[in-house]
Amino acid sequence: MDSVTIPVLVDQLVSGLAIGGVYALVALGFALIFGVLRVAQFAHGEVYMLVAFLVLTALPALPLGGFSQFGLVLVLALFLGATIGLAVERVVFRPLMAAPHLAAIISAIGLSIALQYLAAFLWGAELHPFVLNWAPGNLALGPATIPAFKVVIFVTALALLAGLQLVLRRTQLGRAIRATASDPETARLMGINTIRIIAAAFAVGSAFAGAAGVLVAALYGVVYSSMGIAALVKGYTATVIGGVGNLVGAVISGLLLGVFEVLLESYVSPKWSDAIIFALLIGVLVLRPQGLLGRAIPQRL
Amino acid sequence: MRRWRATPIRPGWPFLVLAILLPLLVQDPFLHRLLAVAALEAVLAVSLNLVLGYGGLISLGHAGFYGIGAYLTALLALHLGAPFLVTLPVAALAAAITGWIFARPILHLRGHYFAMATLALGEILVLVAYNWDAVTRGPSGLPGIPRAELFGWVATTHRDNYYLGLALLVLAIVVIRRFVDSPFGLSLIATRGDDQAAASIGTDVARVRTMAFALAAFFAGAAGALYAHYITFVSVEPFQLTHTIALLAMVAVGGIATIPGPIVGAVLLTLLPEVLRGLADLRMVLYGILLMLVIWLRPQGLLGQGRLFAGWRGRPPASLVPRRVTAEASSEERQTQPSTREEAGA
Repeated sequence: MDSVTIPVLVDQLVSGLAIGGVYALVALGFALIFGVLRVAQFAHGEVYMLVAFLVLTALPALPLGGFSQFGLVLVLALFLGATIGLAVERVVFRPLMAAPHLAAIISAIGLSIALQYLAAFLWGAELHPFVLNWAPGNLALGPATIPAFKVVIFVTALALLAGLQLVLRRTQLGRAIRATASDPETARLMGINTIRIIAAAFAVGSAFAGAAGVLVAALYGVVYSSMGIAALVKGYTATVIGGVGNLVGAVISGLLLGVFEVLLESYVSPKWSDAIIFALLIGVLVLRPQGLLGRAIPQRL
Repeated sequence: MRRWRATPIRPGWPFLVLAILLPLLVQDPFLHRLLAVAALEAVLAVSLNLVLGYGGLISLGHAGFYGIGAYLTALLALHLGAPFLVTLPVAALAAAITGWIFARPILHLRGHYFAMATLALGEILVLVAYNWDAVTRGPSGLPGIPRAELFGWVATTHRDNYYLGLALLVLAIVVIRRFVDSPFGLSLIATRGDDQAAASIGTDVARVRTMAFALAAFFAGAAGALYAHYITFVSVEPFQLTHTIALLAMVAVGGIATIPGPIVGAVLLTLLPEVLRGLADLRMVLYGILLMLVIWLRPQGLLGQGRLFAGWRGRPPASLVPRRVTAEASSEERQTQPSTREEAGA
């Protein structure tokens, strides 16, 4: 156990915010897709994994130094994520538009299994190092020195989240997405092409998953074929804590989840931190069935 | 007047006879092993279907109950020398009680909140088994569990264990079918359609859901006991989320809310990876693709009931699209309506 000193604590908070930013990106994408389609995209973690692998493969072709490589990698990740998301929507979810809810979930699970093993087949099931040509060094923050890269990850995540909020609040597309999320039937009657909106939500949500994938790969320095499962569980957890369909809630709870996890790992027990988080999650759900930040449900049993 | 039944009666006897005769006619230990595994998977899928299909609740912690049964059996047999006839009921009851206690506070949760709570329970159970080294020996697991013994007969071969699994499966089918056809089961099905409407006509929604959840956990725990005695070793792998997800796939592929569906799904999805073994590394890729393909062609599952409209021929009829959305979102809409009214009033 680390002793609680200010520099260590600051370092851990930053680590927590960095990984929390990644969770927030995953959760936001998941929540966005869920919002318009009302179906849990259980292959969301595989989009994240696949983009990380594709970027890893493309890295040698991007021999840029420093920040420009990071920027290019991020743009590439967003683009790849959006492309995969569009394909997933078109191939897996659109055909099941009228099918029972569970059918879409199982189909997503099938996709998740297929992609996970495909990645293991193509790249191998072992850990692959993921190293960028960019080491931004350390930042002095009062008494603490913190790795600047973690701050960059956190800031990148926040910037993407803020960008999405801007799109959702200020543009015609965003308005259409929000309308579809709140009532698909009425949205359609108002002339919104909801099928196209669902595709757009998939593109944006999966782009975020892709960005989260490369950020986490750069943060931990590794990529592996089963990395999507943990991301999905964390993203799903953050979505539910935040209140399903509540995008801001998903972001806040993703960040909280990251910070909480790092603090529990350092000060309580690295072995038991996940179990404690899940136990707290059950507690939260029992006390606040609508999620920590969700809207109150007026009727209960 | 014919009594209305929730489950259409289909004669299961020919299949049971076939299930009994098959391993006697085909003397192949490899097939026997697959059948033994498939029987246990079928027990798990049938019991999960009670919660998922008839109760309409997505449970993502079912493998955790399987784990409770297996670990408890291992500990009882290894430390106390408890015989099979003790470990089996104790494992089943312990899983059922855990399910009962856990279900009570979370039953008012809806949709994904319920799924998340059960996922959290399953993960906690796995993490406890993985980290509580003093009792579970953590990642190394518990070896040396004695074989199941019934009045002097010891289940040593794969075939013996298959018959034990089959017996449990028959028991699970009979009990779950009776439960589904009982007033409790009909109430459970009513709560699936609309829990508030069911409550308004006097259904104790929390009670029937708790019973269904505990009953499903009971059979999962019993299957865990058989597993521990069969494999003679337990570690956390079979009790993880991935197994629960495989069980969900079995129920969905076979046909949700039917009695034979989960069994067919369990047998198919257990055999499938073996059939695909020739493909080596691409085996699981094809498994995932086939899973998607089955759902694509028959969204309600192979034996599932309900209208078959092929949504895969391009855009579904507009009138059909909102049906699924409405069915899924109806409870959420009901929740949000009053708050919208509040906003309008404010």
